[in-house]
Amino acid sequence: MPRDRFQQVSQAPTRPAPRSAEPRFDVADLYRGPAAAEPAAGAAGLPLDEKLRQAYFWITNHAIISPFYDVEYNEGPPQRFTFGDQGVEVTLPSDQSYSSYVLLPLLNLAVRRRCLLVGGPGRGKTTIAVLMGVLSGYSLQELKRGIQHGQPQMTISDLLGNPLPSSLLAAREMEEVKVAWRRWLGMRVKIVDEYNRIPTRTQSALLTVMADDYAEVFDQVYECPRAAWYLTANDDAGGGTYQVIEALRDRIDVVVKALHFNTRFLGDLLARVEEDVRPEEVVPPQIVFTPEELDRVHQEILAVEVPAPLRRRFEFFASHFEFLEPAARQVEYQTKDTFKLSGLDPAAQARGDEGKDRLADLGAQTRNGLSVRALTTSLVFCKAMAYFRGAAEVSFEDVRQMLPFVLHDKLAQNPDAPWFEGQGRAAYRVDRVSWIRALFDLSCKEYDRLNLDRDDPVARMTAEFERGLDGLDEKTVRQRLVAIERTLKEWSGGRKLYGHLFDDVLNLKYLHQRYANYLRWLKWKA
Amino acid sequence: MLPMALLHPDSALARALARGRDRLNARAALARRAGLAFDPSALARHLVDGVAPAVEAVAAAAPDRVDAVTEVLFALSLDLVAREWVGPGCRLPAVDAAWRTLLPRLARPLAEAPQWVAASLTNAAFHLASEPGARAEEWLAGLGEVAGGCAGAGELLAAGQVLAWRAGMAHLRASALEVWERLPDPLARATLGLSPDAPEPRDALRRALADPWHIPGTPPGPAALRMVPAVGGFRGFGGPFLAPPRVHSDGARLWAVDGDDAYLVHADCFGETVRRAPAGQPPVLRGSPAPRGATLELDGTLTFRGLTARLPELAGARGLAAAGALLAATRRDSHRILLVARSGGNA
Repeated sequence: MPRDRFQQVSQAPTRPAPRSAEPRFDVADLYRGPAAAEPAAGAAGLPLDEKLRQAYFWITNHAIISPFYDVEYNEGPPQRFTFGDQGVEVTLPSDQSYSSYVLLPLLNLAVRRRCLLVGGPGRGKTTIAVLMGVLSGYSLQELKRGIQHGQPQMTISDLLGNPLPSSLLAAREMEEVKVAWRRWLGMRVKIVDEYNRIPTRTQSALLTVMADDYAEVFDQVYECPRAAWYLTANDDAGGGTYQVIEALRDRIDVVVKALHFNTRFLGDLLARVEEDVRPEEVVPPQIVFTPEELDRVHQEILAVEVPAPLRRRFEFFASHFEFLEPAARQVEYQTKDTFKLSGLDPAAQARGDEGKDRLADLGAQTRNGLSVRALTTSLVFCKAMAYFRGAAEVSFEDVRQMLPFVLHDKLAQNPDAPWFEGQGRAAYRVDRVSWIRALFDLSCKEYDRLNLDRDDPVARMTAEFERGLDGLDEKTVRQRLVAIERTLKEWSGGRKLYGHLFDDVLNLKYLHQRYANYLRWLKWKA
Repeated sequence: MLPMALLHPDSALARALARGRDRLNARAALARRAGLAFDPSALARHLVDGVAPAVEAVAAAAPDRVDAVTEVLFALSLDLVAREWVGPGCRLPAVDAAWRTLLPRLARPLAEAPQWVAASLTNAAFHLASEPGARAEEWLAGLGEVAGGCAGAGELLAAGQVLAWRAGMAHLRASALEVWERLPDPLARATLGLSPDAPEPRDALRRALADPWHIPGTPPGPAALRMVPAVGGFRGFGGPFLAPPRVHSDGARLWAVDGDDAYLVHADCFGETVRRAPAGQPPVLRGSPAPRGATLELDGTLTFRGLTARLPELAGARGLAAAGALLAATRRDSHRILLVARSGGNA
């Protein structure tokens, strides 16, 4: 493609929205047309979500050959075709859909989290990370010098910096040692190539930077700015030259697989070779974000609303996985985490959970539950997805599309669960994106079966509680206590305790305790 | 392929082309391969006539920006020559004139933001040239005159927007006046065709601009009804309408409906336009009553907003609609919309 065609950014809105009823001609249209005019720096021009979309489409049209639409949205029922013995379904989405390989790194840039790009060598993992850096305003030179290349000899000093020899000699105390910090620590886009080739000891130093945004050497501390991280690896199972420490793996917020190259696009590849133009060198200035714009994007994303009914479905989904009845006698400790911390054989967890329908029990499919960090990250990426699509609130499909990428490494699969033995389900043991999406779909089906949108006593009682305790008299408090006790009694009568019920039971215990404390206070006051 | 032979070897463009020869030649070759079918000799001629003067001006004002400006203008030229918007035999002389006569007068803003300035002005010239009744030459001349009083590229382009409205893009009036409000005083006067040192205070100009039929800087005339150039026409002859239009008003705007298509009619002392409405059917539909207080006799005697005048052009007109101080009339057998302005006095 010609260099100047790389400069072409979509002039038409990338998410055409219904026009307002008030027709008005805008004088700004005078300067729009076939000649690509970049908006003025600092002028109130393009909304930032539109700029983000323009960046996405520029990358997919000119930079990365990723003709895939695995993040699917539909306006109406899509067409579906079935192929092969496995009955693989190919869907033609009926609404704007996206390639995860471009979309997720871009959203990661917007929310400044940590993205792991996995895939075999030569699949463009580093290229996409570098593009994200260029989009945030860094020059290619700065980025290339700032990439940290994992290799077995990498030391903490290589990663963070060295003390200045002169100050080492002259210093009488640690505080006097001056450190020549590595420049990459101050960058707002940080790229670590092949992070699973970094020695374990150095991984710990990396963890501090990734988790807490600071680096420490010789008692000297460097505070790093919030950054979007891009780590690459050829292996997403945490293997490599060195095993990735669990704490570092847990800090990864989203995992993106490099998709294969569709050979039908070899012509495009040939044109790139012949033109000798590298897309990262010709990023149009109109899609480069300033630091202030990225800050604003982040704030705007956080302001996207999560509707209460959707939040409730997400809560229900998350509630399936932690509970493990055989783990303890104290209900609060009946979690998979308790079991894991005890070091017992994980297979034992299955044996103790007799009586439950292990096909219907979604929790049986995982070895762990969702941490607070995983839940927070999920919410942030769902908001980012809604923002990217130009919406003011998160939709059901945003959640459905984002969860698999965020929870990819967070939900540890139990491949021995009977559910995977079902016909056509073996592939879910490998395809974790589809597995997590299927889990969410099954959860929503169960949610509908339980009619929780209309009949959710815990939600009712929680809402009642959240209206506040001030002004409640003793009689009302007692009535509420009785209501909680009755509900628990009803549930305890022969009902199997599944994950969602476990959280509800604890929630009711919490409400009971709060009311009971308040009752004691009322009596004391009287 | 580059027109080195046509350029003086010591010219700023010739030197810039020589410095970027490989890169620019590659661009041109790749553009051809991508399907941009430009005539190399037309490109060469355009570079000499349309690019060299601008680059020369930039070399005098900001020599360190010559290469950046050259690269941008060269890239744009590939596309514009292929479209035949510029160069010998071009289809849009106004765009060609923008490059040959206007850009050389804009050295500083061009050096500041070459892509933004050159592309924006190209697009603006295109729109003005495409709008029936708009006066692209007037716009080019006006912008060249005020350019010296602009603080930078942003102000220049804002001035261009105001001037475009004054050059006959009546539909941009409301939006252009918002831009005008943000201009510094001297530039605000200059864009209205007044001397930057003209005595009228800003408030007085603002009040004058409230009357769409009062040319700022002129004494207000007596109240009168007068014909304004008609708009519209049959689509086969270059107009917008397939069938004789009917006119309606929603109180604030004049609509013309032609079958299933709706258009907005704008007119003021600087020009008249009829444009397809951005949002489909008007809120007031067929059969809307005639404007209150407006009557039209068969002989063309019109009474509108307290004034009466005999306007022979209106004889035989049937449909009437009014919005503010503008009245529109149509005939069943005509694709044109007749316009009457109620100007002066308390419009």
